[in-house]
Amino acid sequence: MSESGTMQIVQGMGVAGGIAIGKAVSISTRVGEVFRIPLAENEVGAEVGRLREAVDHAQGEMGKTRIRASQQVGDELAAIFDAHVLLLNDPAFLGRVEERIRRDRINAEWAVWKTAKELDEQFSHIDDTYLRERSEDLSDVSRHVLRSLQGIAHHELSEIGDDLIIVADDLTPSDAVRLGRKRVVGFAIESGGRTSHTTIIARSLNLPAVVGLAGVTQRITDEVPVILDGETGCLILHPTVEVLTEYRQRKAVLMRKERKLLGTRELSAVTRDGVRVQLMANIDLPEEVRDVVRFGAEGIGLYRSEFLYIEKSPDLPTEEEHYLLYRGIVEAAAPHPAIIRTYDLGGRKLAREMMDTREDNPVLGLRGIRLTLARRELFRPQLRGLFRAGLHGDLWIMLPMVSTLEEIRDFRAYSEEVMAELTRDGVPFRRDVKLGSMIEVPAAAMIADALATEVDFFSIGTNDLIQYSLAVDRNNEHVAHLYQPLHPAILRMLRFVIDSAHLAGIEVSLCGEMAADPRHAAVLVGLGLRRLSVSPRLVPMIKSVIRELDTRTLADLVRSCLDLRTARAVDEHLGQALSGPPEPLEGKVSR
Amino acid sequence: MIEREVEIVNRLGLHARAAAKLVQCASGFKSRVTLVRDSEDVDAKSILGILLLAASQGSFLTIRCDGVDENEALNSISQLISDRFCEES
Repeated sequence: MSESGTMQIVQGMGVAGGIAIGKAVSISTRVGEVFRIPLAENEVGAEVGRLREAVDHAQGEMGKTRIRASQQVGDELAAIFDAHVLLLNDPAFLGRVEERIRRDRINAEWAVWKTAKELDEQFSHIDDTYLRERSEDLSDVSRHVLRSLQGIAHHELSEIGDDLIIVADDLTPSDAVRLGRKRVVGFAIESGGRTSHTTIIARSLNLPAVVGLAGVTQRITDEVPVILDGETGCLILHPTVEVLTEYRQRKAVLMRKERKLLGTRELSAVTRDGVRVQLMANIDLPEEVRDVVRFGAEGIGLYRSEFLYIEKSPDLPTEEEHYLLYRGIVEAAAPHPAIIRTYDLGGRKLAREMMDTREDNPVLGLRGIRLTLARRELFRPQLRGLFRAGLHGDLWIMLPMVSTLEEIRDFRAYSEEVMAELTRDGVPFRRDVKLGSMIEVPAAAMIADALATEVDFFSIGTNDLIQYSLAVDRNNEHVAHLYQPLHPAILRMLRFVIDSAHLAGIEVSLCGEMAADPRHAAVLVGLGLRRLSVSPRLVPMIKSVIRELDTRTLADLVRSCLDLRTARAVDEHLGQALSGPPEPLEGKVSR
Repeated sequence: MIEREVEIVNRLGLHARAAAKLVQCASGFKSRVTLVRDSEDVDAKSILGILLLAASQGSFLTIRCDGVDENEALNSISQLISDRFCEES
């Protein structure tokens, strides 16, 4: 299988486990938003069709812009858009793009970008400054086509025939979502860190991913046979027959292991003393709903709806798209609940047209529920979709980034408005869907007693709660050691939130990474949490941890932890109690 | 085939809006319309070609028309250029 070339091993860092064997597709040489993706010969025709469709679409868009412009600035200035429409139709431009697709067998985006760049080069030789700058009109036109292309489903990589491993210098979450379907079996990436969104997506698609593969795009040509090892974090080019055989065996072993873990699916997450803990799944993509059942999760504890937004980019998802997606999710979660978080956009997560201004400190800026309330119209389709999907199962709506009670009240008032509108339109929907608050801002945690009287449930988001409380960015290597989930401040806050929920008689769950760490999960159960939500693949592991716990001893243990003064002291105290052999249960009194 | 030399008299030369008008005008005729500057010639129905011609104010172009309606085409285009593309008073 080594075909031509000798075996080479490139070492990186494995961020999503598993082994993938297939052929490399290099989507390197990334420029702006444009990738170069090679096509199989029989895909070329469809790609040209895709280009024409995009041009038609862009033309329609420009026509609309021209009408708007002539109303706003007058016909004379609006005529600039005539030039754009003409450029779009000009065989001197489009003909070259088409020819490039056919000749180089590459994707339309790349062909558009490359052609525009060549022409730009020609423009740069013009002496007259004003005329030279007309290349801007051309760039504008090619941007329009690129945008339209991105709205049109990308050519299916499936046509290439083999299992594919994407080799890229960098991937944005939306690229990963777009590419991570069908025949793609792994991601090999030059840049990237452990917590990047691409990594999260690779994990949720259950595909191996290796990052930090320096210079790999320079060394690879398309369709080279490769092995991607997400366990040891290496990429092997041109594997020899022996290596390939070895990896096939290792892959089989991994799959057996996974099947064994899956064997726990039928078991419930019950502690030794008979206390049931509901293990739910955090999911990002609609595809993952099958993993919810596959790994034995009971319901969906967090569905991050912003991935629909990212995927539909540059268009906004329609009400119907929201409705169908959420309907599928609640039906898959049945008979358990599905907690759907409204768009958590803003911050560092893209929010394009929703944001009017640049923010100096977006993490503390207009995001989550704040953005929802500030741009209500943009969220209306999502809300309508949610209320409608509520008819098909147990749908709970969760609001991100809540910091005040007024936000809950405002949102309720807005919901009433949307529901009145649905009634007026004669569209069936569910009125009594549960409304909950994410507890991730320290202020929300500290007024949990007040919040608990006005919402139906809490979901504690420990990733942000810890970062905000300790003022630590866990991706910053200089302070990452200060990111301490067992910090007494965090434990006290969690206790207050959980107690407040219990006192008010509302549900409380936790969906941060803390729930996915065996020792932390034990602490959370000790604090009284009975609902944890983790990535589907981690459900079997956490389940086996819970089946070893005893809440009677755990409650005392955690109570004593709350009196300790440092995270280290808590850690040591827990270490002694939890790492020893499981305590024999006197009399086996479990029910 | 007929041709005529004209001077670009509008201030900004053959910029995008002017070029758009020129293409729209030329495309209204069946004849083949070519603009020649120095040794370079471009199709007057291709806006990209016209923009790349980069004819600024004071430059001279030859309009060349060839076809059944070449006279009308030549007159209309010359008129448009000498009228400064109707954009300046």
